Amino acid sequence: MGEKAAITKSIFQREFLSVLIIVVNAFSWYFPLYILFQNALEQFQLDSTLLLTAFGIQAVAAIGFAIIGTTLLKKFPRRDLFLTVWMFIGIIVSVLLITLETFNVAYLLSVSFLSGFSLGLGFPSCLAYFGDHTKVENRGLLAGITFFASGLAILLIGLIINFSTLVTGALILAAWRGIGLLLFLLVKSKKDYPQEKQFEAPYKAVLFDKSFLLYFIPWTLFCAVNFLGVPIEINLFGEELGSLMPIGEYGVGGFVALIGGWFADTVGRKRIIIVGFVMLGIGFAVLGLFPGDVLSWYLYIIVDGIAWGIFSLMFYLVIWSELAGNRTKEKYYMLGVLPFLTASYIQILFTPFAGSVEASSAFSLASFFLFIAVLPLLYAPETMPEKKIELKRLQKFAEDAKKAKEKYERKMEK
Amino acid sequence: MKKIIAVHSYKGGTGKTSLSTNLAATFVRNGKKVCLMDLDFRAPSLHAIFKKQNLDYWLNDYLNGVCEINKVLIDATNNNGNGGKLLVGLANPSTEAIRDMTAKDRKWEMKALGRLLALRSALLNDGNFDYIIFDTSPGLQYSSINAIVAADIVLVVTSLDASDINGSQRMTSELYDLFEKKTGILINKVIVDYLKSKEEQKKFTKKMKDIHNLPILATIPCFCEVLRAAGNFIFTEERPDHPFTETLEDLAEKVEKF
Ligand SMILES: Nc1ncnc2c1ncn2[C@@H]1O[C@H](COP(=O)(O)OP(=O)(O)OP(=O)(O)O)[C@@H](O)[C@H]1O
Ligand SMILES: [Mg+2]
Repeated sequence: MGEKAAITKSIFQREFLSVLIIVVNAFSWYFPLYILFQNALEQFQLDSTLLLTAFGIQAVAAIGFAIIGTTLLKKFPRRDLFLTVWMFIGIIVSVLLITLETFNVAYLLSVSFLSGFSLGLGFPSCLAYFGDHTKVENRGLLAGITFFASGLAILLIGLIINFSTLVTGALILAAWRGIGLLLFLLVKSKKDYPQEKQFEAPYKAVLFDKSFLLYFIPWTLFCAVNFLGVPIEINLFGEELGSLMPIGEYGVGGFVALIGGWFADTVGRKRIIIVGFVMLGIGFAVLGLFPGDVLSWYLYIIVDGIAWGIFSLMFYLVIWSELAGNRTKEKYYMLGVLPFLTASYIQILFTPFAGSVEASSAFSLASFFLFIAVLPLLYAPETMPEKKIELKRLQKFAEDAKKAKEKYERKMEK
Repeated sequence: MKKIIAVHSYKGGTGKTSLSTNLAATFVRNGKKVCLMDLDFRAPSLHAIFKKQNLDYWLNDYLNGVCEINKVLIDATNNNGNGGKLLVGLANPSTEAIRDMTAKDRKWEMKALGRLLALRSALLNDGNFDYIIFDTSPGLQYSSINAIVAADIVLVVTSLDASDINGSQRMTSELYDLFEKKTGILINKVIVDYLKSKEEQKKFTKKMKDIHNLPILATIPCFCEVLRAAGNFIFTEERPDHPFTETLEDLAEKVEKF
């Protein structure tokens, strides 16, 4: 069986299908839910304290229950059972969004709390499910496909939500979560995660694991720079172009994720992540030098999309499971998504101050931080075994050699 | 039918060199014109069997594009009257040459493949050779991939060692299948006990065929006499009536029809 056949086989396996369903459904349920929640709050025109409290409760609940979830999981005989419960909670919480029809502080804060809870509780486990049901040889590509499909689904559901009222939107989300749950139950892999073979590492051990930190620090820096940058960028670009940014991130990012995933399996994780950082560093540098030039804005949006594609692929789905090795993956994923969960809230906090920051120096500083962020990566271990990379290289060579021979023979016939 | 044969294996020391040399000698005794080439540039060994040290040109030079193939080939025919002919192309055994060859990159290897492919028209068509036999490096490597790609038939030598069997199976899925080439297995160094009767021999071959999922072209017993030859001479030439020689004659016949 050649490499291509092996890849095709792994994509059409039931095991990957279950992974695809649970991850795609999680992303394409939560992001639109977040938008719906945001829209609902906007219509009330809340004062900033209440707004920040609502989002704050949501972020804290998401993080808090993610931590609790990693422990709670052990009370369940199987991980997929835990995930089933988590998805079911999602259905109920989606319906509860309806209570935001009329303004009521208690309802509002409860929904803030519940929406955070319904994401956080199973999120690390959902990502760990991806890690445990994919193999290192093609995890990159499978993550790329998963991310690409998630992007499409987010776009689709997001569009539908945008054009519907709060009540229909909430019901659609509940139905979507329900469909996800049903499909998951239908095709879920018979194998549970290798519980006996994995041991539980305390959070402290994960946080002091050098390999973990060498990836975690750059990722945290990226999240900080990126999310703090968004309000400044929107200020600079104007609302119209600024609103294009997420499309760049998901559109360009989706395609980059597909290709980047394949590359990550071919040349290794580390190289591809470094490419992402360098890209973004250059993007910020150009913004810092020519903050008034529309061309540099477009360039930035594209480069930002490329970086997002690579990073979301690697830092949501791929790298933590490989760093976890034979330890339970939940805690690695939990800590891994933490910078993202925190940063999006910090962005909200920071937005009011964005106007007072001078764009040029902010972007130069950002560019500087991103170059700093690459340093730990240079010392980070490659999580894809060198031998597997070499094997892929040779297989690729073998395929090319075969083509070269066929070409040579055709030439000789003439 | 004129053919290029690559002799390969997953592990080292399985008997590629012994079998390719003796297969070449057997063909020659049958009146064929054969060209035997040492493509194991990391661990050259044919120079020792054919006792050549300081040559002006090696196969390395041909692949580097320094000279043409006729400069490299050495006539090693052992006076036999039936028109058979044996030419050998040797790999440079000097340390520098070995280091140089291990450092080659993918681009060079692609060019080298072109040079190997050109051998077909130069030797089989114009030079009137019947067979080109490539002795290769073990495992998955650029040079062995090239040899396999350029060949019509791949002979995979394996012992009964568990890791060797496993590795050969992996090679089949990772490499041989890709090329859709005629691939046959040679099981070497088989303990004679397994092959006592025709019955047992058949059962053994059947079992091996199921394991490898490829035709078994030969099961070659382990002979201490072969071991004693120690790569100093061509066994089938010195001992024409030895069972090892018989096995190789049988193999030559099968390869011809394969
Ligand atoms: N059937 C056999 N019976 C006994 N000894 C054998 C047999 N076949 C090969 N040998 C011995 O095994 C040893 C290794 O053989 P050989 O050098 O041909 O292997 P190879 O696959 O070419 O090794 P390398 O991978 O190092 O090139 C030699 O000493 C050879 O004489
Ligand atoms: Mg050898």
